[in-house]
Amino acid sequence: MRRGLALLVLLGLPALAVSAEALFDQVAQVLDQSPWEARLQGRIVTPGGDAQEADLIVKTLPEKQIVRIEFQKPDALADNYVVITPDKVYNYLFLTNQVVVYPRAKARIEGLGFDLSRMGDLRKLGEEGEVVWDAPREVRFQKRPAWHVVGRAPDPEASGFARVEVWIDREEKRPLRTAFYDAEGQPLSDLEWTAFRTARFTADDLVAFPPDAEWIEKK
Amino acid sequence: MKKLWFSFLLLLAPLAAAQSLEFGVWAGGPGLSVGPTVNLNLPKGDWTFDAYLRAYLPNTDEISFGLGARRAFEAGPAGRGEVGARGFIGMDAHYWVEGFGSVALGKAALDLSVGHTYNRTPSHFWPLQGETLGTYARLDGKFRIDRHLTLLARGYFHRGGGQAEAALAWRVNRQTFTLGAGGVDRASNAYAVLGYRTPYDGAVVEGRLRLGTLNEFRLDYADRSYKAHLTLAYPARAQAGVAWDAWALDAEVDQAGYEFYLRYTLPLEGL
Repeated sequence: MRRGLALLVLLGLPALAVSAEALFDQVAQVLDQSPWEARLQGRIVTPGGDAQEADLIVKTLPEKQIVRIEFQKPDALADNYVVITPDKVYNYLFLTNQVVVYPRAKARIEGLGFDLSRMGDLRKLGEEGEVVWDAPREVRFQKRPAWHVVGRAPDPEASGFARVEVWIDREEKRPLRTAFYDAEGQPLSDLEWTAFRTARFTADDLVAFPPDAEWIEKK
Repeated sequence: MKKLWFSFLLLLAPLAAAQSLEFGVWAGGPGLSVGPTVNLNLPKGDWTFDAYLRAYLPNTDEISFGLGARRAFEAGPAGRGEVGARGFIGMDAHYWVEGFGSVALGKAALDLSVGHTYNRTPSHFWPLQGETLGTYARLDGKFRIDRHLTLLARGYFHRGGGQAEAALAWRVNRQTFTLGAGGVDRASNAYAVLGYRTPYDGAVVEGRLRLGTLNEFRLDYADRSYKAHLTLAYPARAQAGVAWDAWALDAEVDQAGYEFYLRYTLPLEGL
């Protein structure tokens, strides 16, 4: 009887296993199906190499591929925000009340040592060969059942990071934590996704700036 | 004839890469002087070049040429800035030169311009030049103490005088209250600064009052389509401006006369 049970478990295991790619497909389906908002809290490293406390509100409109990142912390970035659209990146600076507009291809998202716009699309990182993903492992993350996936960048210099770790909610199929590390194992960004909720944004809600802001267009 | 065409084409060559071409008409007095104006704007990577031309009619000997260059740079977290210089020279031997720089670095922002004006009647519109003859310097600074409080400071120094001002801006939700003090030439010539900024029905409205040695009220309004401002000051001076789409109109009247400037910016995006 025990042997039969053991055989059944062994035969059943491959059916339970999920590849990183399939898992990210499921996550993408969840994140792409409707507009959503999440709060990301943790630490990021600035271009100067300082690790700073980070608190960001991310709002997305998947249908139009628009992402808006509002900075609450670090203090130097508070009240600034970045809006990423398919063709342009808008960087709003609160202190000077300026909107700096870059073509998407040349965009520099100011104040971060790591490009946040790439963080959301984990599937693409694998497809483009920028990251080689290990098989997901079942873990618990803050008492929630989760998948833990580790990826390694074959070319850390080109990618800007050497290793990435992702925790994904097993039931809701959404990210719980994403952490990027450099070649020395130092975290570049380590952010927990909290207060995740679906929302009813329009493009005008997300691509919105103070009407008295000064516009600076970069070519 | 061929030479003429060649010269004309040579003049048009910068248009091929130009970003915008501004056409304007300036008028000022006492009396009547009309100034057709052209400003060519040529961005090249982080660099931007400008060429200016203004003819004053009927006094054609006051025709004025100008050139400007500035370079933008990124400067660390939430940081950007630019440095540049521009200069103008007129047929009647007047000239004006100015160097300027601005930087925003995290919680602090600084704007500085230093210039020298020689033998010229100041024109407040296009471009805003020194209002006094001789050497001058302007300094504007902002420092965010925290998410609610911002310290503002400004200074204007010129031959024979100066003005300094400091204020604290306090943000409550989406409204901002400003309170400060300033002085003209010396501390006893003081004035108070009061300000209020609020969003209103999709627009932003800001009022600022300077009261004391300097008496001035400025009102700014901006929505998605229009930006407008109105300044009333005593001794009697009034200035108003409105910008919409590619158009802008500015007007000023004071005891010495009036000025008026209408301009249209034609986007070229490189012909």
